Amino acid sequence: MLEFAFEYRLDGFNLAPALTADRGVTALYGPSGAGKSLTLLCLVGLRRPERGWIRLNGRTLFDAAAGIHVPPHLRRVGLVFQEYALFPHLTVAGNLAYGLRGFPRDEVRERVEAMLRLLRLEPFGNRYPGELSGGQRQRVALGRGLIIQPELLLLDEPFSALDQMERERLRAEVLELLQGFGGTTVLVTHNLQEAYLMARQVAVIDGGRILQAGPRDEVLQHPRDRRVAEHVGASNIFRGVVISQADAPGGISRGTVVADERAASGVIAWHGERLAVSGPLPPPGTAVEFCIRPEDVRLVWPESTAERPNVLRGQITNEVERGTDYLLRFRMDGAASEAGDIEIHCSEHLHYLMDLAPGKAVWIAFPPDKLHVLTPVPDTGVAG
Amino acid sequence: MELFPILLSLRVATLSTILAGLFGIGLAWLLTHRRFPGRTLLESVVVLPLVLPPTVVGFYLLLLLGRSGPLGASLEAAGLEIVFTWRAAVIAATVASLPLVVKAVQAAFESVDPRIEAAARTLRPAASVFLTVTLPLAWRGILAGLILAFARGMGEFGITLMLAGSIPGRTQTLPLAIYDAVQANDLAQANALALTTIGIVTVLLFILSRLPRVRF
Repeated sequence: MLEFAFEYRLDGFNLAPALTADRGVTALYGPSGAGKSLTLLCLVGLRRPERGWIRLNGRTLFDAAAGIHVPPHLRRVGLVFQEYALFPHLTVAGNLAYGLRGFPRDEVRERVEAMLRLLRLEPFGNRYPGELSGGQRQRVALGRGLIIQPELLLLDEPFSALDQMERERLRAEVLELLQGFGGTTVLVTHNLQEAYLMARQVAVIDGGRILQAGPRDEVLQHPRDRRVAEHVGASNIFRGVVISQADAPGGISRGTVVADERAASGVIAWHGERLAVSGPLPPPGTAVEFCIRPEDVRLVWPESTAERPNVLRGQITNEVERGTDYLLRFRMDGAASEAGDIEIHCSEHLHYLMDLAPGKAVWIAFPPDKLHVLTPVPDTGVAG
Repeated sequence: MELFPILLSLRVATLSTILAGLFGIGLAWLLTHRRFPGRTLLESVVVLPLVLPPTVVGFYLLLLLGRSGPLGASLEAAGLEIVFTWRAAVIAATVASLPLVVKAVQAAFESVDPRIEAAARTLRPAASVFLTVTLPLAWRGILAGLILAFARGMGEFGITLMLAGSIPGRTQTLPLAIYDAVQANDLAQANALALTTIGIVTVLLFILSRLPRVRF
């Protein structure tokens, strides 16, 4: 288990991440400049934070107060750089063996051969990195980190230097390789899909701070605040007022009693609508922000509007065809500006069935369990 | 032809290349890998011998290392005579070639991808990284710097004259012997020594041009 909380200042940027990561893969997900790579450099010991501590499986790697700063090569931490940073003057075998200084010659040879087998690079032991393909280089970089049998493996945007096809193949390959690795892995990425694909745990980082960390579905479905919601693609963020916390049949916008309604634990007033929301709510009268993911917004056939809670009527104002699905913009009837527009992801199939097009009047519904109330962002308060 | 100046110059250039190499590589590493107060000042001081008139450099070295100088007095107390000995010629050549080594090696170190060194640093201690990654990746630039230093050591005139004098059979190096021969109107002797110098430097430049280019 990796635990850390430290502070590192660099040219006006204040990095202050805190995280607990269990065995398995944790994705450190955030935009460029969020402090992801710098966090890795601090974890491996190439940068020394001013304050805080880093512990790995109970071992203190860094503790500012106690003056502990274990040198990088003694941390049992493997780091795979974004552009691999292989040693160009050493062969593949030489690269792999680099971290095994001081081991008996026979053991080094055995471990290098075993690693070459694992990486499926047996014929390439005597080649130089310049003679390898991008994917092969990446495997060598991964092997160089794994061969020292680290307790923590750090991967810094490992797939960003590859083209799309190779990237998808290598993600699967790396996942396979990591299955044999019993330690903790931290994967840095700015790609949400990659974070979800590769990791069980996701930590969202921005501005040098971990905004939220937890199981990937938890983070994706229940972003803690507006910032996290924006980062994880819950792009429909609204502001409303809590009307009631308790289960109230009258509080549903369309009166019919349905299964969803019993799960509802409250009602939020928004744009003259009363939206049923499941999950805990703050006391009535509180202004809240809440969000729904574009793929969770339901398009409703006209004849079934009465059966569903939280049905809104409006029209499609814009559509973007994205190859396999559509991104629609929906404006509620009576809404004046695009400020309240709702983003909807819709499959090509449904788009065809409903004969959707810009200007078409449609009904949409927010499933109450997909509406998620956000906690106010500290300091800045609730923004419109 | 007199052999002594040739042998002395070869010895002086060899020793000064070793000294300038050791100090120069160390300084270049400091200047490229560490941030510390006075870094820019150090960088400027190191290149001073390149821009100052050799007599000026020689003059202050003479003050520093002379019998009454702050360093020279204690060295003499320790039984080490510097000024007007062959050692002074070595020091003169070292000071003259140090900036060439520092500049060349600095450029060579800067051409090494810092991420590669960082990756190495996660696997081995810093000293080992220097020997197994930084030096091998920068060796061509380092060798170029050392060859320049050797050529400079062979040709050093001004600082040597100030600090070591031009004592035939003791401190008279090749360039000083050529000057002396011309002064004595012994043009055949001057010519022989000059051609020898050209020969040595040509061989060095040839080696430099033939250094295998390493493709990475």
